[in-house]
Amino acid sequence: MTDQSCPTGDCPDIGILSEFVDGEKPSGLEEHLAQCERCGRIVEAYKRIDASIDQQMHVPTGLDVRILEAVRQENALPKSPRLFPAFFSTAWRYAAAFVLTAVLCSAMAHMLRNRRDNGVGDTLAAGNATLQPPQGMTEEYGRAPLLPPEVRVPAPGNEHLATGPVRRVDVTGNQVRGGAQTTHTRPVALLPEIVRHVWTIKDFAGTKARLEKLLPADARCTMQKLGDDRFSLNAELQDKQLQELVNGFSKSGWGLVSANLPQPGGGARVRFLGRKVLYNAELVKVK
Amino acid sequence: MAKDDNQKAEDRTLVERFKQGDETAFDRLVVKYSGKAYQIAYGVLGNREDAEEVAQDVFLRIHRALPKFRGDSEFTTWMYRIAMNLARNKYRWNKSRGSHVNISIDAPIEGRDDGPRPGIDLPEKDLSPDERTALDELDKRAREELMNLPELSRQALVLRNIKELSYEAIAELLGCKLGTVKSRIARAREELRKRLDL
Repeated sequence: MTDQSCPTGDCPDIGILSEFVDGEKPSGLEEHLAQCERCGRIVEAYKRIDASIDQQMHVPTGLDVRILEAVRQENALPKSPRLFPAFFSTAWRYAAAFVLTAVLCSAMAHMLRNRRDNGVGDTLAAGNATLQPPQGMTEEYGRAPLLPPEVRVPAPGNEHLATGPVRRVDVTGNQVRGGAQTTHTRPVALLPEIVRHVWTIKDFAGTKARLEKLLPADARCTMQKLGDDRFSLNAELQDKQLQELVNGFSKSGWGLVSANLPQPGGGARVRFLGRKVLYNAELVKVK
Repeated sequence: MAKDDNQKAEDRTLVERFKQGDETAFDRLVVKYSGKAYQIAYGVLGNREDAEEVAQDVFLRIHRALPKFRGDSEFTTWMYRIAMNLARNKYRWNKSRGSHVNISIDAPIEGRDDGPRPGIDLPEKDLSPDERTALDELDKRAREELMNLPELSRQALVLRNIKELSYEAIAELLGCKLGTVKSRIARAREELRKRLDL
């Protein structure tokens, strides 16, 4: 603990002298400083250095006034809305970001699955693009082309490929019953890209007039007489329009023979995605 | 110690009053501690303009955050930490932009050390004639040499010159041990003494 360059040989090191300047009073140091010119000079130098630093650190006049003015100016500015409430700590923000990322990934995976499963639907949804039916559905239906040549419908032997819902999904929702909110889960179906129905009608003339009234004005459709007692309808509709059309058929007193969706009044069981659906209905006159 | 306790009690009262909507309590805190915030920032930055900017930012942040201040630590500890963090951020920002050589706007112009100081009207210019005279040659050199010291040593030494800032408080602010703080201060003083031929 001695400074070898000190003439007396027992002078304290600079650490002790520095602490002395800061107010520490090790025993015997003051007596030593009174006797040791060198250590006394060092302590005086430290004090001068401190005085010089003090001067540099002189607080500018009016600093507090300027700070208060800046605070008041900031308070006078309109506050921008917070993205998260104040209680949203950093941990909660990370958690929220994690959940959001997981939801987005899940949604994207779901979307990709849909695209893979519904290749025809995607083509239909593309509007005027050429419709590419699934494999095995390339034969022309009926005796004459009922839709433009590029639109093809399943052959009679392949109806099973185009009937029935393509998927059922479970949807969870909230419902208020008796003043209490309950959570329920119900299965919901998606309509396939091609729907085949068989209806029973009473007369041709009334049916034609009724069809013209029920079909959406912008729907692409054709009607073809198949025999004395039946004719077919092919129409390209949105899934929701098809549900409304089926409802309308039913209200007209026609009977739906087919059991597949969409069923009259069964809209609640179907989730409508705004997709294009090819509707092939056979209307049979019964006595 | 009793004085310290009174100060802390007064600070707690001011914080509570501010939380209850008394804006004058915040004014009082600014009057009491703006100088300390400035000096801490100066210790890190070595530049008066930057230090004042940081001091202002410190109280803007405190004004926003004080309603949520739970009082787990003393107000002064909290405020010193904010000041230190902001000053360090500013220092890094300056350094990244190549302006870490902190030359104060009112520092002597190179080659004109004996001439009059630049006549930019800054708040510091409100010094009295006596105070101006006191800025003698030694002070000029001390200022230059201080800025040439290693960053950590300079910060410790300057912080030690802030009244009421103990070794322990400096150690906490700098995030190092008590012994490290003492040795940095001692080395900084000794280095300056040698460079200034004192």
